[in-house]
Amino acid sequence: MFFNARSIRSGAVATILCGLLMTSCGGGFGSSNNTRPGRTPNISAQSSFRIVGRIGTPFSAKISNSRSTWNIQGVVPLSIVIINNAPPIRVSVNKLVSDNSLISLEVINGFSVKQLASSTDNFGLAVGNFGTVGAFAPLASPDVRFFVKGPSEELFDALIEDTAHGEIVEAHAPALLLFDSPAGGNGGRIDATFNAIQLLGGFSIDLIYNGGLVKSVFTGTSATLKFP
Amino acid sequence: MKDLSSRWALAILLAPVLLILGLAFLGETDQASAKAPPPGNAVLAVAFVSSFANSSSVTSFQRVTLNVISVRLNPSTNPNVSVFDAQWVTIPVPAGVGRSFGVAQVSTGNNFGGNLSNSNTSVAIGEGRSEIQIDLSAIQNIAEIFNAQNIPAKTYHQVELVLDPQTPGNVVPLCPTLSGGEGCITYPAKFIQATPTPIAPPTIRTSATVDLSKSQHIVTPLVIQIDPGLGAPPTTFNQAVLITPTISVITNSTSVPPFTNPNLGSLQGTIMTNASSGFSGVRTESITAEIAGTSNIVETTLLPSSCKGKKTCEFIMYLPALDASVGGTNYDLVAAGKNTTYAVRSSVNVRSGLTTDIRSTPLTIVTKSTVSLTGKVVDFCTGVGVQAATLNLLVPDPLITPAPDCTVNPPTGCVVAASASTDEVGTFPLPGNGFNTAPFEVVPLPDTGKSYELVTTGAGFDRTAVKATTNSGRLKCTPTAKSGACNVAMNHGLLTGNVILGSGTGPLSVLVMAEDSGTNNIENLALVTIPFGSNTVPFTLNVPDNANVGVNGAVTQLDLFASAQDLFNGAPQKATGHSIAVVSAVAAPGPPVAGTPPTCSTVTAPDLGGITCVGHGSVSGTVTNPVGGDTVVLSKSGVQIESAPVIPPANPAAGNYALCAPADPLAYQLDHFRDGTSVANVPAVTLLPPVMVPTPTPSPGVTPTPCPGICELNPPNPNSGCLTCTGTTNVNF
Repeated sequence: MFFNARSIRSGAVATILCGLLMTSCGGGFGSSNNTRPGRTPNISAQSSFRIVGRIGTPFSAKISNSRSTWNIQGVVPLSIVIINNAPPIRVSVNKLVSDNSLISLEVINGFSVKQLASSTDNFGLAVGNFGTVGAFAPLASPDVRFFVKGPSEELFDALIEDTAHGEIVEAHAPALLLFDSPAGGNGGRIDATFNAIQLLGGFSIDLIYNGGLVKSVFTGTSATLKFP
Repeated sequence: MKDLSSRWALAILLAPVLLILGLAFLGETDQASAKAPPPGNAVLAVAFVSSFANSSSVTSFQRVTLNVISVRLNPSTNPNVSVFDAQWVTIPVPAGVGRSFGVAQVSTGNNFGGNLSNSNTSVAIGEGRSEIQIDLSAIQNIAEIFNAQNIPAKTYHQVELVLDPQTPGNVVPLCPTLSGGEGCITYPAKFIQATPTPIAPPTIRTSATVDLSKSQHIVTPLVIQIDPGLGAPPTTFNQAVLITPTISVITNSTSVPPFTNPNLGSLQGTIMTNASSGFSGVRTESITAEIAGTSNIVETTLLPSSCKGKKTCEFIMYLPALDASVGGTNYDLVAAGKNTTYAVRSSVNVRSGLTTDIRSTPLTIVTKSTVSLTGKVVDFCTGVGVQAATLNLLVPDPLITPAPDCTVNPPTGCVVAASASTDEVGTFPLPGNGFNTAPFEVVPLPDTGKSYELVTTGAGFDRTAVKATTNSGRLKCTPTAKSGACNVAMNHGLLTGNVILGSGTGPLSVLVMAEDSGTNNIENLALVTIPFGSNTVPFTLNVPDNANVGVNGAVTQLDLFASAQDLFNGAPQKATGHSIAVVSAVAAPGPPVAGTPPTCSTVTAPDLGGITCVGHGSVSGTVTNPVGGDTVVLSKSGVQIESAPVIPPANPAAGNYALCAPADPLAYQLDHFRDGTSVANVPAVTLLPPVMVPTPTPSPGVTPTPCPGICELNPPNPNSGCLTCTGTTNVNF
């Protein structure tokens, strides 16, 4: 599932082999380098989150790693993955509705759910962390987000890159991919390639850069977004 | 990065997808929602209730949760059948509406994400599985639907609950009365291990007869009662709490449908269609049960294929419901389908252990073109899209005369027929998929001269209603001029102020909440951070203006409270150790002032000051004459801060309540609430303060490590160490 794609071209053949192996193990990448993508080592297991519970419950979340903080407003369900992560991670999620609907926060490292927190209170709070945390870091700059809005429940693979770093992600839509400090925080070009696995419909993907919607894709089961 | 890399990436990523596709076409896929149902299967709908009969220490805990992965059943009569036996069938946590398929598909309104695999039922050990955290306190008097699944129609004799093997649950103990580990923080639960230590976690299993052999093509409820088997509360902060969970099956009272169960209400109804060929049989027609007056979906059932070609068909739903003695639980029903009208029924009363029969008043759907309802929700003052707004399409119940007015709040007699949410730029709806269309993508056109009421809500904004009518085969919203799209502008006001620490400096994050004065109906929040070295930070949050109509009329005053988010040993905690700042009865801002652009009114609130580290505290006791659904509310200076459920009757600890709150030297008020009204109170309760555990004195060559605390006194006193809280008990009223 996760490997550092610093040199995509040199790893191409090995990656296709990875795809072959992947199909034989249920469509999921492994986390222990069992796909052996050339000499490219695995990165550390990715940290991700799921904000789940009653479908449509609105929430506000603040997610922070050691470098950056993101403020997010969305609705259940939403998967969130930090690309180019720098743990430890602190998460705070509040419902944005006064009712008894359930909101549940899952903190995931690699393939394992490490922590769960939930609430049914009015504007209920769920907090989580991975590693020992302190105060929230400064707001992400640049703030780069890929929002895979649909098709709902679609399992997809994505390659997210800047000029120096690439990561492969597998997640269910809707999913928000937060790209931390692309090109060392200096901005620069970013791109992402998405491929649907279950083919439940056409993609709907937004690229949001510093709060502005800069690219959108509305069709197809494979999509590429670049900026600038 | 060059373009070449992306093309390579595309090719690389397409390769495995094409390979998967190739294999998928050779094998069986699980996406054929419309395909013929598998023969010999039955749908089992699993629900949970809790018991603490084997948990005598329950009164030492504020919250007990279990992290559930799945429920498994096995036909073997051997209670020790291997966990690896091939005949186990698994019902996982819900991964999404529309994912399961069967003769009569049942789904919940919940989503827990699905596995990191394209199969939700065959996941290798170590792969990410969805989990649901069940709050056992919340399901003592009302069941919680877990999930439903199509499984082989045979008789099962073993039922197993599968919890997360690493962290099977989480508990929050109350503060100890004498000594013990810190209270009001989250501890992991841990299975009690037999010795010698087994490698595998213990199974949580019961023997029961679940006979589905004659239940093909029907839904059978299975209610599982869970007792966590709580051990003693922790004695140190880094301890796990031992648990020995047990389960039992609450058997159905009847053996033929409609089944009845003491913990579920059964609902029997009829659905009709005017389609000349009857129901389509491709399973697009569904019936959804929502908590009355809300869009909170509890259960959706698709019509079984046995309805194909018929014009009248019956349905049965099994729903969580309170006991008849406390009035049961009201549900709204919506029947819908592709190219049909909505059919709705409001406030259908369902009571646990009983069957509600509404067959004499069928839900009738009529063939009608359906269209998409799309648009954008914006802030009236800034024009910026509103994120995470909720749009509900209201339809009046045709059985009520005179016809309900869906423009009023609350819209009594109106049912939410479809719901949608906005994305990060305010557009709606979020997409569905090819097998599970988003509700706003199949909206039947209202009849000429009739309309839907589209109600938009968002935290901090006025409830905003617009009418949707038919215009040349498309939907038209008023006042939006554009046909075919519905643009909604939402009014609001602004509330500003400052959060100020009573002592010490940042960094410290503080949650500021605004609620309708005298209630716990929260309108909005802001999470602000006091910077390093400072003791104050300003806040601004959107709030509804005073023209907004709440369920009890216009809201002209707001209460504010501010609660610090503290860390314990490097982990954020829900319960704060700082005193909570409150301000009551702040005038709500007026409506926006006309102009180009319009201006939203701003009110400056008094400072939320004096936030000081006081340590955790807790209060527990018993209320008299408890009834299912009762709560105890904790207030400070007239501002409601938090609430906790009261353990209902027919439980060993009936009437008990437990709350965590900072050990503020100022008194709190406790109220026993029933149906939104205080029936008894304790006007002043001062929580016992924490004890200070001093840091050991350094000795030559040894620098002692202070124990962790929820916050630090500032300035430190000679005994500075860590605060360990003390419980205030037996506050009975």
